[in-house]
Amino acid sequence: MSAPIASSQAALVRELTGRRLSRFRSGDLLVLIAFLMLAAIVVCALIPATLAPHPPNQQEITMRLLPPTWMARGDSAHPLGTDQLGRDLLSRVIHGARISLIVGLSALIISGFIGVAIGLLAGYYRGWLDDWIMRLADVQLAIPYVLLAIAIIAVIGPSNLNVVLVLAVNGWVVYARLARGQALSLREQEFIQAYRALGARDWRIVLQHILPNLLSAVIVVASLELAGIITLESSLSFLGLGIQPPTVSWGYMLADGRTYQLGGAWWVVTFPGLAITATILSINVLGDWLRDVLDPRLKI
Amino acid sequence: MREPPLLEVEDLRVEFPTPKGSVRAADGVSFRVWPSEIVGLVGESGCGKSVTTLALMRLVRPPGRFSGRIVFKGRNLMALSEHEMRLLRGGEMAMIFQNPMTALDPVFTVGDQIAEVFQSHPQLRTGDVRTAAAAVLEQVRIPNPRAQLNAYPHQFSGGMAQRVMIGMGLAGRPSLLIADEPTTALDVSVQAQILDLLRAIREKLHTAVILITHDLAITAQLCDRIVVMYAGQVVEASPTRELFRAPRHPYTRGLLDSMPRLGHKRARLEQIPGQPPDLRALPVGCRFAPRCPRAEERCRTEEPVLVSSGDGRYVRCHFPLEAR
Repeated sequence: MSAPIASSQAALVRELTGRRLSRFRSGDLLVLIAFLMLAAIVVCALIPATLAPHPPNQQEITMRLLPPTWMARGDSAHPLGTDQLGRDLLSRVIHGARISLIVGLSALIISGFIGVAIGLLAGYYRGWLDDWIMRLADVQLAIPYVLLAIAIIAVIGPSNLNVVLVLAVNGWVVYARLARGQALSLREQEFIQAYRALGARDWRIVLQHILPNLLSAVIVVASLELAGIITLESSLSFLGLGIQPPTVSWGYMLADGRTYQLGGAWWVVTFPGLAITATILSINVLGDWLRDVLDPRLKI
Repeated sequence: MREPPLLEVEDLRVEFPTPKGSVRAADGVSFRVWPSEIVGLVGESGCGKSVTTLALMRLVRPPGRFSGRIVFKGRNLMALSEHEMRLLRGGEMAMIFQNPMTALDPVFTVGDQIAEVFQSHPQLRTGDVRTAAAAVLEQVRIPNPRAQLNAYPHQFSGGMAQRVMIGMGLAGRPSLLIADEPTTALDVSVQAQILDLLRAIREKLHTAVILITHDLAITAQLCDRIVVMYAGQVVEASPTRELFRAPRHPYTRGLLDSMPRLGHKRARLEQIPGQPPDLRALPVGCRFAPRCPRAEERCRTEEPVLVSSGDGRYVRCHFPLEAR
């Protein structure tokens, strides 16, 4: 690519985002790899049927527990092998991307939204609101999350939507505490005082000045939380409270295949596990990078 | 004799409840500010100067409480609704703070922050926001204002950031600007520029300024009148020249004596012995008595009141100093 085009592209990026993506341009390999990996996973989530060689739930008992194709008994029709019911693992991993991402991200967004909103209010206004919210958070933290999840699912019944709700209920505390702590320290900052002295409205101060200032911390925590959510989803699926078959999720695959792993069929759990690891790792790397880019203080 | 005062503060009290009893940060503060006058509010740390001005803008946060009479341009501020008060802040009354580097939001460009003043006060805006914002910067003598709108606060020096703050304060064409130690965080050469700017603003826009400081040298340069505070009270108020020539309160005298002066040969600077009283356990009688070289029995039993001695001077002392 010739230099003028590259620079006009950089200008375009600057135009679109309002920021200089200088780190990206300088060729940060790790970020690039993470980005490509996540892009691949998102593509899998978007068009699984096109990419997967087999339907995810197509069983073939005679072909059960086939190892990956490069091993001795491997079959080229099943590149990553098959599970205990002869279902193609590659197809299931590809299909699993959709539900895992949807569940993970929607739980993340719901809990983040609720948690940050509650934490902001508690931290900025203090008083009885703060006391009540934080005691509630303490109470929830005192209850093991699996117990809480079982209790909630027992009441509202297991379904894919309810899994999202349970995960969101579990997650809000982290954001609320983070946002409250940040809001508490930010409200004492001179610039908040200065804006009050310049006649800014309360909601404006909270939304325009406190929220953006704590957002970078929230983004980083959220990218770490996603790992926890996906793990939690797999524990719930393991207990039969999570994603309900025939829908495929990585967590469910892990839970479902764990007994066969002991019999030597390591691939049944390894590939969904790798998919989870790859997703979380790339999101963490991107989250870290995003924080640097979004923070004007770190920009030269 | 003169036009009516722009601001009249009477018997202002600010209290903060603490587990060990209530702290009276300002206790019966009274003073006046006339239009286009620069008044210095002087005193050591913790004497209640900042809290007094925060109360003027009704910005004391709960659990802090305040009471008293504040009349600004003939309107009783204590009776205004929160909405009316908000319109006043940043409009007819503005405030700037000690540390300009922390008084600007680090995540927004300077231009965005100035634009926000216009959003809080839509009536101020005339025409394009960016043009208006650039005009604000130009007014406080920032070179190349249009280009600087896109800069972030951390790219500015302390002096530049303080100019931006002053500009934002002036955007509402206030008749009163409260400057809380505006130069304390800046180095000396920049201090002079900022003080110069404040003086120019008064000349051009006829804005009255309350300058909070603990630096008497600054007040000597800039202020028309000085109000000296001690332990939450006004102890002396006087035109600058008279105050420096002949302080009447022993505390003011102590402050002046602890200041180095050109042309005066003195081996050591005087100091005021002791420390300001604990605001939760104030002494009976005069609050300065425990540190006062002139204190007598009466000072320890009877609290003095602020009395006028004519000629625009006020002093809170049983035994005020006479002209030297």
